[in-house]
Amino acid sequence: MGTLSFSQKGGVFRMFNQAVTMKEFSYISDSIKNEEMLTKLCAQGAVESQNQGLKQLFAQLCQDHLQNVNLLINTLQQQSGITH
Amino acid sequence: MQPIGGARQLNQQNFYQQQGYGGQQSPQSMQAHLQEQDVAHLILSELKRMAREYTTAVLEANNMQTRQTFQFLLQKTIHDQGILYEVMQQTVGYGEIPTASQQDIQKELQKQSQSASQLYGFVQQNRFGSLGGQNQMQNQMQNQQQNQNFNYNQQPQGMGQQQTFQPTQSQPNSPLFPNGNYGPSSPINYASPQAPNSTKSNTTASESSASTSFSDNIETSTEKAKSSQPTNEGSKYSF
Repeated sequence: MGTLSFSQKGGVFRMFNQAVTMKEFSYISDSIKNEEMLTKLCAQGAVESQNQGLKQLFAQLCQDHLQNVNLLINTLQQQSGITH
Repeated sequence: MQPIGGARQLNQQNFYQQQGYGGQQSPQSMQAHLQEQDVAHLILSELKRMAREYTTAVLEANNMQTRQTFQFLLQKTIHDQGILYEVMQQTVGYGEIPTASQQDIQKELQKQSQSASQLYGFVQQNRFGSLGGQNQMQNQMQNQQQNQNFNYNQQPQGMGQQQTFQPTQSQPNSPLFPNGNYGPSSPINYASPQAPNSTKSNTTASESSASTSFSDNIETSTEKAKSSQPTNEGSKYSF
C-alpha cells in the first residue's frame, strides 16, 4: 500500500506523498531517544526487580524496545536514502 | 515525571503501610521493593507518554512508510502498556481505582439520550433541507415520517424515550434512499428491537450507499452519515 486514495466526484487524489518532512525526522529522532531511555529503564528494572514476573516482563520489554530502536534507525536510514 | 512524583510517594507510603512494613524486614529489602515499584510506575508512565507521542506522529505523518512505522510502534507500545499494567496489578499493586456508580451512569445515560434525541431532530431537519424541491412527493412522505418522529420526541422521559430511538436505529439507511424507497414503504423494519451489531451494519450500509449512489453529493451525504452516528450510539445505550 503505497498511498491511500479516496475517490471524490469521480476523481482520485493521494492522501500522502512520499516526501519526508522535517517534522517527521524530528518525530523519528525523538522516538529513538524515547525508546533508548525506555530500554535503559527496562534493563534497570530487570536487574533490580525481585518479583519474578516483573523481572521477566522488564527483560522482555527491554529486548522489544531495543528492536524498536533498530526499526526507527532503519526507517531513518531508508528515508535518508530517498532524500539524498 | 515531576507532576506524578508526589502522587507516587503517597502511593509508596500507602503501600508501605498496607503491607505492614515496620521493622519486620531489613531496610535494604524495603528500599529494593520501593525501587521496583518506582521503576514499574516510571516505565508505565513512559509507555503512556510514548503512546501519545506516537499517536501524534501517526496523525501528522506525511510519508506513508513513516506513518506505518509509527502505527506499528503505537500498537506495540499500547500492547506493552496493557501487559505491564496487568502484571503490576497482580504483583506490586496499582492502587484502588474507584468505579463509577450506577446512579451516575443512569444520570449520564438519560442526559446523553436527550442530547441524541435533539441531534436526531437536527439531522432530520437538515436532511430535508438538502433535498430541495426535487422530489416533492418524497418530501411529503418524509414529512409524514418526521411528524411521527417528533411525536415520539415530545413524549416525556422514561419508556417514551425508547420509542424515540426506534426510528433512529434505521436512520443510517434512510438519509439517501438511493432506490427511491421512502417512508413506511421502505424495507426498513422500524419496530424491531435491534442488537448492537445491527446498528453497526446499518451504519456500514449507509456509508456504502453514500459512497456509491450519490456521486454528486458525496461529501454532503458522507458528512450526514457520519453525523448520524452519534445518534446511533445514543440509541444503542437506550436499550
